[in-house]
Amino acid sequence: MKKKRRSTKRAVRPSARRRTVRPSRSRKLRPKTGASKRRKPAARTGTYADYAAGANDGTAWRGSQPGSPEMLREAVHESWNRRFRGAGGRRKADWRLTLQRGKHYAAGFMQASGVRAAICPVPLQMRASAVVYAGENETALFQTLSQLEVLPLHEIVIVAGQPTESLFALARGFGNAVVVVLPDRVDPDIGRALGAKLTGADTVLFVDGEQPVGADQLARFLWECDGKLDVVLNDLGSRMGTFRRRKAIERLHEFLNASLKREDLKINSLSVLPFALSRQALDSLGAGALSVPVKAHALAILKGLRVGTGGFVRTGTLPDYADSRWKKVAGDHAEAWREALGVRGNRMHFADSMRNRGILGEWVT
Amino acid sequence: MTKASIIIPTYNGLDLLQRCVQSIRRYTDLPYEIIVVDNGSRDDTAAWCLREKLTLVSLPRNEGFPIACNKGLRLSSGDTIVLLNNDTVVTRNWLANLSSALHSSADVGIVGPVTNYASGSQQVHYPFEDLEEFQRIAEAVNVSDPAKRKRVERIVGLCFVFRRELMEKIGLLDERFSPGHYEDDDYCLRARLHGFGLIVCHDALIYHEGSASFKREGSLEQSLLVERNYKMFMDKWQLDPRAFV
Repeated sequence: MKKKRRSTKRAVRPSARRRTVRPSRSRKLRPKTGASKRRKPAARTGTYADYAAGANDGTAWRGSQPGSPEMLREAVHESWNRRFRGAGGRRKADWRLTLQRGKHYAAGFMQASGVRAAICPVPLQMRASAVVYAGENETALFQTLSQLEVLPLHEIVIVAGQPTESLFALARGFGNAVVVVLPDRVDPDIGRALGAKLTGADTVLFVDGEQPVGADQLARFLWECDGKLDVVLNDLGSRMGTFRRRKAIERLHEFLNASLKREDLKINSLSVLPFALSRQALDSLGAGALSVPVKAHALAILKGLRVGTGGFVRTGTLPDYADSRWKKVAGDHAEAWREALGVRGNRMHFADSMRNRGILGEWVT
Repeated sequence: MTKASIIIPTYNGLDLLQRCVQSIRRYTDLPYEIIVVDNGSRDDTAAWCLREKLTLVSLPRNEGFPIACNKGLRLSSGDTIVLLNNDTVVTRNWLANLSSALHSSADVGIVGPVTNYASGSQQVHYPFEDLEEFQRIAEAVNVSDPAKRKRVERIVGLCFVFRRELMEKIGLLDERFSPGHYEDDDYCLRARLHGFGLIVCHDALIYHEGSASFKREGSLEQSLLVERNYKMFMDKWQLDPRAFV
């Protein structure tokens, strides 16, 4: 925010202090804008080099073949990846900067090639795919898939239980979608678990078909997972309220994390979409484990997988005490703890420093 | 109780698929699930599968036989796995007999039926005029008889029946052989290298139309493909697959 320069011509009464009303600078109150909105002129940020490189590659591409938006996307993803890796691809590069650079590159490419398409370039080292469970809401599904389409995904697995013909046609209309049609309706978690079984990719992103999320936000999950983390969670913990105000289910998530000695994860849980898993995580947990996501969360921590977060994504409301899903959620958590107790023992590695249990002899486990 | 997962890859062959599925529904007594893997068909295959309430995996383009089968294999949940060409028609007791051969011994890896059209020892000659007559002949032939099981060195991929344990041990089909040919030879060799045996059941006769998918595309392309994959097999194993037929 530039400070408005006061005109020196205006006479200011020394006794009266003008109070200008400025929009609050507090980040909490200002809506977060994505990197794409805070676009600074390329020259200032020093990423003009990426734009120019994109323009070069775009010209070359246009020369070699005429292209459709899909071909453009493929070409941009591929050449951006090469450029990023070629310049000594920094694994610890800042996400915002990487995304911004990618967008500049893509802008240059599209400008030069004359073909335009919505695109979110992410330089990934390994193959990525997405899994979506299609609910009944066709509009939401369409929006979700439209966002996934612009990411560098090898395939999008869409699982639908007893879909209508129009829903199927909608899903089928997307170029790299593998649509799985099941004869019966299934629970969304089970649907996603089946979808996970189907893909052989190295990074798998799980999104909610009823809650479209912007591609830029999803891209970060792919980026954080790609060779760095095994489990990338939605960072609800970064915007949770005070303990008193949290929902019961958030407290359960937090308690599970704390009992597994992962307080840093706060209220984050694998039962909240979106999330991403690496191939190692999928093989280690088994795709079937995803049918009870809370238990999978506990297993991931127990098995020592690398668990982290991929940014905050606003989700729908979580179930609360009065909700019919509450019982299921509570039951899932009980399963998770049972599993944890089995692995870590009855005290789950929390030593009792207050009581002298030894005097009970063999009654102490 | 074991369930069989019957995986049928298909491409633009709705009429063949319908005939195949109808015969499965009519003649299969064991518990089973059908998984159709649609290789980007342009006809009404997907719509028909939706109406028939079949499990369907719809791929965006024709990825060929190995990739399609692998998708079906990944999704399957049965203990017994059947890979079936869409241009086959099954017959009475087909799966019961194949299944009993498969479970006759722990070292049996893959079993296959005999048929009117296949390369190698699985081809048998029973003269018939039409499918109805064929079904009558098959009903007589398909009487379970352990003496009619023969150990072989290779089974044709038109109908592969194997245990999930085998798949867990040796993995999925090798996708380098896309769009098709010699992936079955490759799988059979891998099974044998792991100590499993292959059996052809002369008490399980099914109908096979023969290279229907490839025939519809053009035979020159097909023979080029066969040559290319033959070389690929040789490069991989330094063995001649034709020696096992």
